[in-house]
Amino acid sequence: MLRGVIIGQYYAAESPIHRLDPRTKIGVTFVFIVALFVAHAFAAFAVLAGFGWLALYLSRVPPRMILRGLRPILFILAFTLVLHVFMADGRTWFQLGPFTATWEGLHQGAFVATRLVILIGTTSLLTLTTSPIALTDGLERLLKPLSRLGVPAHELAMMMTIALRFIPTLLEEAEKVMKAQMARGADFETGNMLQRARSLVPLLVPLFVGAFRRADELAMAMEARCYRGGEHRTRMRQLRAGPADYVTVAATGLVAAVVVLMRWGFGP
Amino acid sequence: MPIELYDVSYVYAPGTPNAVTALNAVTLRVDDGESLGIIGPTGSGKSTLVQHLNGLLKPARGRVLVDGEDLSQRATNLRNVRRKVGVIFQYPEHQLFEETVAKDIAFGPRNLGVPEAQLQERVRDAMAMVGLPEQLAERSPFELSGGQMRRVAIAGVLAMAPKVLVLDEPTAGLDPRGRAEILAHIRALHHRLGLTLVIVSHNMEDIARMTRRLAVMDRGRVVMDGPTPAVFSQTQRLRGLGLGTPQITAVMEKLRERGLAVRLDVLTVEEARDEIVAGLNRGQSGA
Repeated sequence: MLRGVIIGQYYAAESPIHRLDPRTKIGVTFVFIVALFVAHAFAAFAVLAGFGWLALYLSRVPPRMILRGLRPILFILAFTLVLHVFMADGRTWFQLGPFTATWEGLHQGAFVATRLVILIGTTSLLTLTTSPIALTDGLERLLKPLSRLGVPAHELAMMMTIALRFIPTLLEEAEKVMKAQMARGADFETGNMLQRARSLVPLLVPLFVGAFRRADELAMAMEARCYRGGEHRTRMRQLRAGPADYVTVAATGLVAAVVVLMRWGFGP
Repeated sequence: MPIELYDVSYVYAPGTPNAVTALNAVTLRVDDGESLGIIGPTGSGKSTLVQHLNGLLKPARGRVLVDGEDLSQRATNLRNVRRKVGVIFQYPEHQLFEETVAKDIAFGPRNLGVPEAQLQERVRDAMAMVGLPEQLAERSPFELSGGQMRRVAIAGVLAMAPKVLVLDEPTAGLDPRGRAEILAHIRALHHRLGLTLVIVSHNMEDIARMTRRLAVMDRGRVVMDGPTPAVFSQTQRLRGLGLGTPQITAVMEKLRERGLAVRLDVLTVEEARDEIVAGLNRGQSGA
């Protein structure tokens, strides 16, 4: 039941997208997200979604993987949609008890939901095509200029690497603890919200205890190998941007420009 | 209350490129009061098998019957099955979560709906069964030693009053003393209360001491099944599977290689002594 979560999961494959410099992918994703929030019309979404679809196609990641990643946010999507439909002012669509559904609400709700779907879909493509190590390498390099301002770029990147690395481990552990508690008659599936929340205690406590234990062990193992932060560390794999990266950046710039123009450049 | 597995198969991640057949047409029967050991190389399906015994996993094919009830059937009350078949996983101390030892042990029986009035008694009995001193009851389980934590976890399952006790690597990671103590308590439960035992272990000495019947698994199948001494005496075959034998068996085998006619199916030092003496006598009378 926890297998649906794909954030932080890497889909190993050989593709032009996988080969891109992680800095490019992070930067492009960032620009993409900004563009997504600049976009104010379905047409702009179509442009962005098309771009995302092209990236997905090139990445050879099965679309099924993306759909699976969307499953956990289905509830949020439905919730957003319903909220908008009933809360917005405008022309009445239908009446449900004291609530009025409006056409404007439907429009807004669909708009926000589409934005969410594109957001999650494309950003999960970043983690699906970039190994956690490459991802944090790229992030570290991108944050490096900020280290003069006192931002601990290396430490942040290391923390992220470790966090990402342990997501699957934690999921596995959660499943194990869950089974052990089920063997003791625990029930995680029935009952009302409160009962269900309470039934999570026997799962969460061991999970936290385990996470702390692991953190301790890892810290010890790192110290035993003389790890002491970012100063003077060299890299085994140097990041190098190639032609494909320039093309990607240019294409993204173009798409972003189109979206910006669609919002402010056309019309009266 | 027998547990019967008929032609049970289980596949992890079915329908994906990562699909793994963990169990392949396993048929096995565990009768009342038996002590069954399960050994096999890593990845041979032992833990998957264990999870079928109380319905944590449902077979992809085949049937699992506990007390005649089919675990795949919707009408079967799995909670009831889990009361009868207590499963203790590897490193069970990692599942402790309550503020006090007593509360943690009471978690299982409370889930089963045991009335509050009886809980105390259940907890006290379970603690006694694994030799935990009563004054630990109000301590936090996280303050205890590794061996004590493990015993608390085992007590947590015993408090549910199971008829069958299934243990997956019960002594892994314990020091020799903790190991001996836990095994002694488990053996006492088997002999005194007549609990059926199923023990999965990589430790051949533990298996030799604790079980009378032994099943060997390899790549999802049960490849050997018989009385423990008889299975262990097939040393070549076990070694072929990457498994060892108890030290006593190994000693007897070496003696045989050196020309002393002794049986291999002995498991204790005493039996071995008698057999060696008998072998030496046979040798002399023959000469």
